[in-house]
Amino acid sequence: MFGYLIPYKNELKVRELNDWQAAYCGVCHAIARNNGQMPRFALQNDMAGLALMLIDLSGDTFISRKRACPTHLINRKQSLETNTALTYCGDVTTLLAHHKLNDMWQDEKKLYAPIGNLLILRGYRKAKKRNPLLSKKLKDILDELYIIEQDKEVSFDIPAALSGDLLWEIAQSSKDINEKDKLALSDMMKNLGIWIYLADAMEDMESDIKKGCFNPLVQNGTPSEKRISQAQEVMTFALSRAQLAYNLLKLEKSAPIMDNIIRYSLPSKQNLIHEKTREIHKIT
Amino acid sequence: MNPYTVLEIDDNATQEQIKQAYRKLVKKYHPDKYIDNPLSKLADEKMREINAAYDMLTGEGASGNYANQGTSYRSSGSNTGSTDFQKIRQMINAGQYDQVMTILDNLSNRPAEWYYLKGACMMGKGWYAQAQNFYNMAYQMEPNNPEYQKASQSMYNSNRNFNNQANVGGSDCSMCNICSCMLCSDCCCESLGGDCIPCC
Repeated sequence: MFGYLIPYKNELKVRELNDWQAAYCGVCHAIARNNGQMPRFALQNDMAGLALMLIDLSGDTFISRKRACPTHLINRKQSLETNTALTYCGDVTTLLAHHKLNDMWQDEKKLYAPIGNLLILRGYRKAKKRNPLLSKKLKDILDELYIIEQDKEVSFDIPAALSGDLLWEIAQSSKDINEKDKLALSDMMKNLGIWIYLADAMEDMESDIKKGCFNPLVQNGTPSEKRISQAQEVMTFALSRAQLAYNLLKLEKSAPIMDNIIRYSLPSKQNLIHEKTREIHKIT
Repeated sequence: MNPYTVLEIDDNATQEQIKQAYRKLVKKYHPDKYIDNPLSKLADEKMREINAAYDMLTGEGASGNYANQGTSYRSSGSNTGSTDFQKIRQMINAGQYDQVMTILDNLSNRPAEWYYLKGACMMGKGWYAQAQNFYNMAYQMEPNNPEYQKASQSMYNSNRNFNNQANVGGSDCSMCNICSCMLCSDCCCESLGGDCIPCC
């Protein structure tokens, strides 16, 4: 999920930071246990937030213990015990890694992409077996996104909404959560998906122009002021919608961390991204 | 239901604290915030729960306040609407956005309601910028329609409230900034003949 859904650590209590870290390590260990060692390299920080929310909403317990791992052989870190939510997050990481590597081969012909896919193949097949519907939906959405992004004149709304649909499906396929919470979670994730897509588009504008890659905010090889202004409005709207959906979730243990992300970290990041974009592209 | 848990207050909260908590939650879950939102029913339920909790603790009969204010795509009283558009509204409420888009694209008659429903459909699909454009067109064609007016202002109002909230909490005024500001004000004042800070 591109590394945006992470808390502003300076505003977290030490206990909350440890919980975040334990969730991240928990997902990593779950991947190792259920999908093999290689997909661990694809794990991003965002997945810790999803894991914490899913455990909270499913009413599962937060049990952690110190465990060693390849990067922490001596100073072992607290890690949540593998449970349904962590297994699911591990599967989502593996499925997304597989599709990301496919994209990299299709778009940029990076040689390491098919090699990477071969290394995670076994883990991918296990994740696909446990989540057949999700795997198909992710593939369909990413295939559609690939086709949409061939049209450089397409309105930025459409690929952004597909990115939202991707996270919607991930939330919808989560297990052991009641329907009302799942609806609110899915709507929140959908709006965060739209936000993340546009944030990424704004941050990557310069490099995409240089490489000639698709960017929904670029028109005829130059940043479009009109599209950028509209995209900034849409980002604010999507984030406000995500907050409204978040308000309807009944979180307890993960509430301080998720509050930090939704109410502080993301709005701050948005302000920084918008200011930087206005500065670089001289937009008023 | 534990009314204290619902209102997010301690068991020994005073009446004033209960009222303050109630007002804070009403602001958070107000139905106006959930217009054109697939979660409007959940927000309605939450609002009923809050009202019931407030009733239990104060006996002031808040039940019915702020709830059931109609946030789905029901036909407004001023809109006669054809049968087709009534059915389309029901389909939008049911989340059948792709089918609705196809039906609307095949209609040759395109009054203001057509643009409004197209906008509603795009809002449901997450095409927010395009939805806003269609809402604006519906409002331009029928400026006296309150439904279209609310829809065309929804993104602007939502963003304005969001930015106000971000600014209220996000000020980064350090002591250095305050002192610098005061010194500059004093210099400007003195250059105009006054003296903001006599000792400087």
